[in-house]
Amino acid sequence: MVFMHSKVNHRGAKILVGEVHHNEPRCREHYCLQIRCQQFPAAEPGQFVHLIHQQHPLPPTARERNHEQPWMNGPPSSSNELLIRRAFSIAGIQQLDPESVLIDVIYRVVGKGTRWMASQRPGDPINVLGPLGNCFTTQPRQQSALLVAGGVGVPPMIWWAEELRRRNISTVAIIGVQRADLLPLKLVPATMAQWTGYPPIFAIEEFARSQVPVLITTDDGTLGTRGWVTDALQHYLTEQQPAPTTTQIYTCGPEVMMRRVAETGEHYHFPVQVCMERSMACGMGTCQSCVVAVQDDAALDGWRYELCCSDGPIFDGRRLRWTTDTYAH
Amino acid sequence: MSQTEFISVDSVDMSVELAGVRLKNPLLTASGTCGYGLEYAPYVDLAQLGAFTTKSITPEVRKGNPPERIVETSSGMLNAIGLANVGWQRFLTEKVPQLPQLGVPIFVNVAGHRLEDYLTVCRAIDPLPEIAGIELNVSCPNVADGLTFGTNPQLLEQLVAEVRKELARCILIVKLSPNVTDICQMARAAISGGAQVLSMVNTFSGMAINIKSWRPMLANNSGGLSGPAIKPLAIYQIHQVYSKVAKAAGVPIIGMGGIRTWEDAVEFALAGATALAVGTQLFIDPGTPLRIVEELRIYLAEKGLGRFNDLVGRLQLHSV
Repeated sequence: MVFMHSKVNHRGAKILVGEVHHNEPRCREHYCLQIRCQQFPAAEPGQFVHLIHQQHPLPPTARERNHEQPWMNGPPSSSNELLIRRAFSIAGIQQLDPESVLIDVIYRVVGKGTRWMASQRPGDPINVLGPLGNCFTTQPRQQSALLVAGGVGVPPMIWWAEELRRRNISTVAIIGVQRADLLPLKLVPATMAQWTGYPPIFAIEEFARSQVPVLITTDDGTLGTRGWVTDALQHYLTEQQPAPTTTQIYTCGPEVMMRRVAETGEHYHFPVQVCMERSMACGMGTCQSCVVAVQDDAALDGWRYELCCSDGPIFDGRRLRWTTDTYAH
Repeated sequence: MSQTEFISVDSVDMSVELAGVRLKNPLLTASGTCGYGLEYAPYVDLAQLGAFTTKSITPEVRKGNPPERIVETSSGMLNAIGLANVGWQRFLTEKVPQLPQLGVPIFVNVAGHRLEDYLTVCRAIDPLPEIAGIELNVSCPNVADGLTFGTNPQLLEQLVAEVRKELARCILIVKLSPNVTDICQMARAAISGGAQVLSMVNTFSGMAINIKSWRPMLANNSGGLSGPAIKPLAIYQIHQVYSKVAKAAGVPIIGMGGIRTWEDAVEFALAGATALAVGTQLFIDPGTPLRIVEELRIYLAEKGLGRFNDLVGRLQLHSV
C-alpha cells in the first residue's frame, strides 16, 4: 500500500484569539479544554494547535490606530507567565455557527504550561496558533483502520475516528494507559455486543459515537487487559488477521510504544502512520527545535532531520529513524 | 483635542542608519529566530520590518543537534539547535532568490569553526545584490569550540580583519558573545578589526537539569539562554559597550536579548542601541517587531521626540 503523504501545512494557519468555552477534568490528570474560536481555518485530524495566554490589552492609542492589523491579536506579556506556546493535538472540532468552531484539546497536567491551562475558566481569552502540521490520510482501497494510542496520544485518535467513520472505514481502537484512573475518556456502562473474542472490548463515549470499539490495556490491569498496548496489537493482528493491503495502522503515544507499533506493523506488512511529539518553540517551521530523524537515501549517511511541526506531526513509520530504545520484554 | 504642541505620531522619523544601510525603522529579526526569509510570511507583512537577519549559514550542511533542542526555563528559553542549516551552496540556490520578496535590507548571519569557513561563506555572499550585510556569529555556544573566536580578543580581531578584507559591498556586523569577562575588550577588538556595526547580545550559556533522570534537559547538555530572563544582562552589556567603546568609535549597536514589548525596546535604545532585534518572541508572535514600531512611534511623539535616533543613548545615570 502506498502511503499518501499529504502536505496540509502551516500556510493555512492563523494566529487568533479564542475564548475558553469549557475546561473540566476528564480523569485524575487529564483535562478537556474547549476553545471557541472565530475564523479558525479548515483543519484535518492529526493537525494541532499551539496555545498561549492572550496578552494584556494594548494602550488604546495603539489599538485604535491598528485595529485592522492581524498582529494585534498579539503576544503574551508579563514575565511570570509562560514564555513559549504549548502544542496540542486537536481532539475534535465542532462547528458552532458559520463563524465559529469549538476546538477540543485533551491534555495531561504535567508542568507549568498545562497547570496554567488547567487554571483557565470559561470566558478567559486564549491565543491560538493553528491549525498546524499535516494530517492523517487514508488511501483509495482502504477498508479498515487500527488506531493504537497510549495515554496522551489518545486525543488525536478521537477526531480521526470520527473522520474514518465518515469515510466508511471500519475502525478498531486499541488504547493503553498506565492505570484505570488515567484514562482520559468516558466509559459507557453498556458495552458493545458485537465483539465475541478476547480481549474484551469497551464502549467509550468518544469512540462509540463513531461506532469504533475500543480495546483497553492498563499497565496494572485495573481496566481491560493487563499489559502493553503493543501486545494487544500483536494479539489482534494474529487473531483477527486484517488484510495489510486494505488496512492502515495509526499510532500516537509515547515514543517507545510508537516504535514498537511501527515495527509490529512493518513485520506484518501494514503501513503505519505515526503521530510524533516534540518540544517546539514556534510551530511555524522556523525555530528548528522539533526535529525528527527520517531515512534519506539521498544523504551520504542515509538520514536527515525533518520538522515535526511542518513536515509532521504524522510520519510514515517506515521512514522514521528511531532513536529511542524499545522496552525489553 | 488640541495636540498642536506635540509632535504628531505619523511625523516621527523612525529611520536609522547602520554603516550606510538605511532602515525605515529600527526593528530587526534576530538571527536564528526567523528562518531563512519567508517562514513567517503567512503571518506577518515582513516588508514592514526595518531589516531581516537570516539564521546562521555555515560552509557545510549541518543537521544540528539531536532533540531535545529547547526547554523553557524561568522567563527564558534554553536552546541548543546546533547551527542546523542548509549550507551556503543551497542557501545561495534555494533561499537567496526568495529574499527580494521581503522588500527590506537583508543581513546574513555567518558562522564557522575556522577562519577559512567564514571566508568561504562571506566571499560567496558579498557580491549578492540581495544582501546588504554580513553578521558574523562568533559566539554560538552550541557547537564544539564555538566560543573560541568570541572569547579571545586577538583571534576575534584577526577574524574580523580577514573577513573585512574580503568584503567589497556588504557591511560587516559582528555579533558579540556575552559569555566573557569584559565585553568592552571584545567590542574594541571587533572594531579594531573593522566591525562597522556591533550586534549584541547572543545567548548566555546555560543548563537545565531533569531532576527525575538527573540528566540535562537538552541533548546537547548545555545551551544558550534567551528571552526576558536575559534582558537586564543584555542591557547592562550594551550600556557598557556603548558608553565606553562604541559611541566614541561611531559604531552603532543592534541591541537584542529578551525584547518583547515597546517598553523593552525603549530601554535598549536608552542604553545605546541604534537598532533593536526581536528574537525568541518571534516564536510566539512574528508580528511583534511591527507592533513595537507603531507603539514606539506613539511613545516618541508623546515624549516630544521627532526621531527615534533622538532616544538612542539618552540614558541618564545616577551620580554614585
